[in-house]
Amino acid sequence: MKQSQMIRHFALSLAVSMTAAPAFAQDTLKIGFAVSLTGYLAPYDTPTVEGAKIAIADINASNGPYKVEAIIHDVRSDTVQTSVVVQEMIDDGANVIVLPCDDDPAIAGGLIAQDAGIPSFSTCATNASLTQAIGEFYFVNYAADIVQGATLAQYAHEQELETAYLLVSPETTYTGNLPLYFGEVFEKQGGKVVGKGTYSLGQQDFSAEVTHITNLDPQPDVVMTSAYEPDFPAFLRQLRSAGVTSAVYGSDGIDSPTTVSLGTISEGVVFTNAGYPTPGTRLGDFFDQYEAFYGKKLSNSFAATGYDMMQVIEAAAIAAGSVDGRALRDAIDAIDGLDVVTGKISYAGRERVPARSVSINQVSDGAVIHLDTRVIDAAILPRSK
Amino acid sequence: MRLGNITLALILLAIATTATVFGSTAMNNTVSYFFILVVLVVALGIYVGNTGIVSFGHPAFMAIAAYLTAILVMPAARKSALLPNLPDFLSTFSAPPLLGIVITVFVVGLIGAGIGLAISRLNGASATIATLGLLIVAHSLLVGGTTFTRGAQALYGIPKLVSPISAAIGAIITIFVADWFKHSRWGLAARAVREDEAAAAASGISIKRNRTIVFCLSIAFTALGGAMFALHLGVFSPKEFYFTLTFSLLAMLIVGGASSTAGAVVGVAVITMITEVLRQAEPGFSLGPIQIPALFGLTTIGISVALILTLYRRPEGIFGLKELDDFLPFDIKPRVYKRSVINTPRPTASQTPKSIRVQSLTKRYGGVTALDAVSIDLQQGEILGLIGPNGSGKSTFLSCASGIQRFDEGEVWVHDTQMAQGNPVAYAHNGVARTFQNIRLFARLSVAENVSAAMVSVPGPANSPTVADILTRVGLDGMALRTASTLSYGQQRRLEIARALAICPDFLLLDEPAAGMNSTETDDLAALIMSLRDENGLGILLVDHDLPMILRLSNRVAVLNEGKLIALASPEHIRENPEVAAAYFGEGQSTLSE
Repeated sequence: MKQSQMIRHFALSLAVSMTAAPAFAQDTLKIGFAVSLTGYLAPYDTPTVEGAKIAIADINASNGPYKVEAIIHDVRSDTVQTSVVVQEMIDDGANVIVLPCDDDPAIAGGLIAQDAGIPSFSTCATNASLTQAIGEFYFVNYAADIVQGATLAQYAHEQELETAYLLVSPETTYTGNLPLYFGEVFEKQGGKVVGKGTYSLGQQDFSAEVTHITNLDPQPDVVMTSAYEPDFPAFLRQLRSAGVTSAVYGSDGIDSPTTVSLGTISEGVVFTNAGYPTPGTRLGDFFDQYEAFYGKKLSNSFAATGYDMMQVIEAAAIAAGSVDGRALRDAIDAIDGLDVVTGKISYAGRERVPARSVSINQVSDGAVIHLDTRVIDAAILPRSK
Repeated sequence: MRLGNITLALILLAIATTATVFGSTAMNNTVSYFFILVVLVVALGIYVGNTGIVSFGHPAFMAIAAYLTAILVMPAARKSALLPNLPDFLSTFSAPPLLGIVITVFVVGLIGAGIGLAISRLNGASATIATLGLLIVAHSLLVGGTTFTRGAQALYGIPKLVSPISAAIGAIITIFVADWFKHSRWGLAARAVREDEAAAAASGISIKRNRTIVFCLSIAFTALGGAMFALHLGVFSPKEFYFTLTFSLLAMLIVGGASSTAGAVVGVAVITMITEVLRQAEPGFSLGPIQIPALFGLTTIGISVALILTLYRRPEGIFGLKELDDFLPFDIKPRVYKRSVINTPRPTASQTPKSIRVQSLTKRYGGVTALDAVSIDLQQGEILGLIGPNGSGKSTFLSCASGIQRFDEGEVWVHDTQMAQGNPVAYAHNGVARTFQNIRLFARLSVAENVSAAMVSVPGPANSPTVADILTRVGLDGMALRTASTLSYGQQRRLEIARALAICPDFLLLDEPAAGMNSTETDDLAALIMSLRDENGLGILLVDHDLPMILRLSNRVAVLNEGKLIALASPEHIRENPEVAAAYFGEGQSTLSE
């Protein structure tokens, strides 16, 4: 019995080494995903990782110079856990670290990767200041707040909107700063911010803020907010009930089926996201690929930006010809106009906050229509707070 | 220094040393954080364990401590970049880490004392809800207080200085202090209050002051944990210190045993181990030929299951009320408590016999008059029986005359002090002790601790009896280490009297002490009561249904009926009083003697 077990064991290890053998022809690029698959960040990290997995399958099937090995661990939306897991992944030889979609865990994990000289990305933290907080090895992946705010402001200016009201919540950097970036660029373009209101996350009664807006004379041309569910629908409903007809602009936080399902209330709402899947485009194909891969429909752009991130890493590794941290970092920092599923992405000359295409969309007749996709000019970007 | 603590400290130091010598950086992080959790959970246990009140608010103080430490310890240049609005004295000052921690513990401890003053006025669930409010208020203040915080944004760049060894030292200090405090006179008093507030107050324990002390100490060590958290992680924002953390700390405390310091440590260890094992299993693994698929969320499920199992199988946690000492093969000498202040004379030090004078006491419940202008006085050296049919107002009278209940009209004088209403502690300190109709012991404390809790709370003369003396006196010698709730009924009654005697009273108010006793027990009790009068000169108010005993023991007997005092005379006169007989047996019976 014992002997037969040994033989079987030997045969098994032989088989394993034989199947593993061809892989030696490729170099392995080890990517550690210290991401939140549970907890409050799961809705963002999970689709990003799903998209990344499709990319990894594609990369590994393409027989390129690198084979990607993914280590995926859940950090439960917890900062302490992120720092522990990132350290483990680095000890385990990870070449790149992917971090959760929020500032604290991204900084905690990013600083460890920084110390180890290993490039890191957050799945979708949009705070461009993290590049300063962490250092030269950290890269923003998703469309940063400054990029979305500036894109919306530029679009508002093109629509000849002249006055704006900003609704912010200081409880998160996203809801607190993005509208301010919008306001800053909006005024630079010649518009005027005529009022600013503050709300709390989870606040259901917006009557004070809505009264503030209805008392403005004349009413603002546009109300801009980065509020998301459940605040955004509540606010919008109360705003429209009060008879305010101003345009309403939001950011990718309302890129969800709920917004469309609000019916006439959400008619005309404009919002940005990382890409609109027009059929026939690369992104449209990716949405189909996602559905084929997971058997469910994709309803936001996080999976696509997850795919993008893997393309960036692979391209950098090929350009660097190495998986060394410093070489990878320099190669990512030099990426210029790389074709990815959401369009083009450039890190070169951008201080690790990528220039990437942002789509402008509008709710119309119970559906989302695509208005424009553009890459904002670095010159009009505001300074990240 | 108790052996259990030394054992625990050695284990923790061994873990820390092993991690430092052999562990990877990741392992060191995990071990350091484990010790920080030990500090936090043991600190939380100081309050929750000793008072029995669940607190959701501790992470609020942890947050304040983390911010304060960060502000104190961060390099000045980084401070001015991240927190440009800091007052000058803070922005230019950069403290050595140890000084930063000491300042933090002191300042946050003081804040804890201030808030403890407010929270200690609330009981049980109200106090818990108040701590919940505290958590939310503190969170809002941290998000809004952008002079000292970065609002919702993360504060980063705090030097990461915590090593497994330094964290272990923090944990060991916390464990030693927590265990010392638990067995100190304040800790003992707090545990007595936890077991029974009314009895504790009647034993002279000032509940508010006691709870404030407990809260303050608990918060000071929570601050230590918060400071270590900041110096361990190097980055945090207000949301780190919110409900998620509150619930994980409470889960660890509940699993280990809230009332046990060693239990708190074990709780942290168990939850950390469950987390670490399940975390490794989450991404999936192969078990021989079987491939276990990835299942993220396993750790959370594991912790929840552990919590549910604990609540279901061992509601008091793995350790319950026990400490490590209880499991070690050594004889543990229980702590011997001494009277708190010796030789402090009572406010009234006169030579004449003292008395309690109750004048025109009226107590109404809505429209019902429970006591109607009742005046009774009790002299030292006498037994005054108080009888009356059910609902005649005997217990109400006793509660009003011992400060437990407030009343509508009238006055109570203890010798020459007019007593404030509803303040049983003052009665105890003026020499009035009582027992309760439904036995109210500190059920989960030992017999000796029951007596000690009262003894340490009320000053008395130097030659007053020790705990052992008192237990011998009531016939409970040799039972000092028994848990009070395991005593027989008659023994529990006697323990209540022992506890009452521990405050060196001049007066003893006994509410149905013979209820439920067999005749032998009643006889023993009667002998004890008489000796307390004859040998110790106590004035005893004896409320009971046992008429023969009352008539046999009492010097005078007062009779209540429907809230009115219908007679106050010698037992012989009461026996012949037709009004008393009518009250007891209805019209037609002319005297009790028939």
